[in-house]
Amino acid sequence: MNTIWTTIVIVAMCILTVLSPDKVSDVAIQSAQQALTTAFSMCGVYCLWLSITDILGKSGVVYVVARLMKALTRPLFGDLSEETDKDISMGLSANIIGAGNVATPFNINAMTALTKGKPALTRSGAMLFVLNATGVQLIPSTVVGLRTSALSANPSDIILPSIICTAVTSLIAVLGVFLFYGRCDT
Amino acid sequence: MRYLIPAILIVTVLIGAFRRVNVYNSFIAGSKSGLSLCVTLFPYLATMFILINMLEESGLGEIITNSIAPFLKWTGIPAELVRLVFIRPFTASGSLALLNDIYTTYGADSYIARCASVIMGSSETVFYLSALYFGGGKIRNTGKAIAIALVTTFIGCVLSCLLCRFI
Repeated sequence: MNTIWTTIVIVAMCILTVLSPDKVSDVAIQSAQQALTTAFSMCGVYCLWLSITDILGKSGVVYVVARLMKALTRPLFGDLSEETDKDISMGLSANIIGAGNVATPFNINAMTALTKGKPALTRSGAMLFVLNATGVQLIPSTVVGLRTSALSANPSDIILPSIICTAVTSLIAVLGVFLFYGRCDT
Repeated sequence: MRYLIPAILIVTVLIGAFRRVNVYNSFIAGSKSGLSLCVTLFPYLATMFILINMLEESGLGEIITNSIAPFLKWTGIPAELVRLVFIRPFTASGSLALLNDIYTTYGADSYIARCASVIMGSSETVFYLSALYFGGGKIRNTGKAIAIALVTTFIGCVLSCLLCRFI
């Protein structure tokens, strides 16, 4: 990541210096401001859903969700600690109903637990990231909404190809992790 | 679908109250960890946004897009969509804006627009998510996982354009 980031930023900065020198520092400064706005706009989502999770955890509902998701999490992640299993199950459920932002705090918790004290990314950590980064969302509601407002004759006719495509990419992603990280954490 | 989230919220609070969970304290605890999560994520977001904005402002993104367009044509991705395929892994808001442009330029029901919709609907912001996931956990050696996600996303884009020809 360091190499890619540094190379791209150096090249971009050089081009920008030639084109419009005043903009170089402006872009960097505005980026941090933009990051703050984004972080704070997500803060609301995180606060609400972490509160809801707290209730779900204390009332024992998460254990039910975790047990229901066992069929999916066991073959993918192998044996997990109870806490991580809960986070991953909640994250996956949130993603499936199309609430990607809600899934983030769960997945970050799980990721922290999966890689704690390890020098590098573990297989289960890689599986968690790759699954989420290739999209486990079933219904692309944002896109359908945008098409509706763009006066499409049939806004939802993209749902079927999207589902097929997501299913195939998820499968490829899982195979990729099995191929490059092996079957189980060693 | 509209009632799903409100229903989950109401049912959760009801279950909590029924099982004698201190709902008030749960919201205090949740908001506390919500804020600290945002603070942890901020530096990684800021660094990612510098990359995205530098690419955009300097025109380097456009140069890269134009130079890979001929190769992508060979895989069946129309030249009009190369920009979307390139920007999609970086930013959700940026690619949604681009999608909207595509709708206005080509019409929401054109082949180009339908391909673009399926690409958007079946992929994720790989780089942005990697900043979030690996930043929060402070993890090294993530290159292989990011590569798998990117290659898979690209295959997804090719597949989207292929599927839209038939469905």
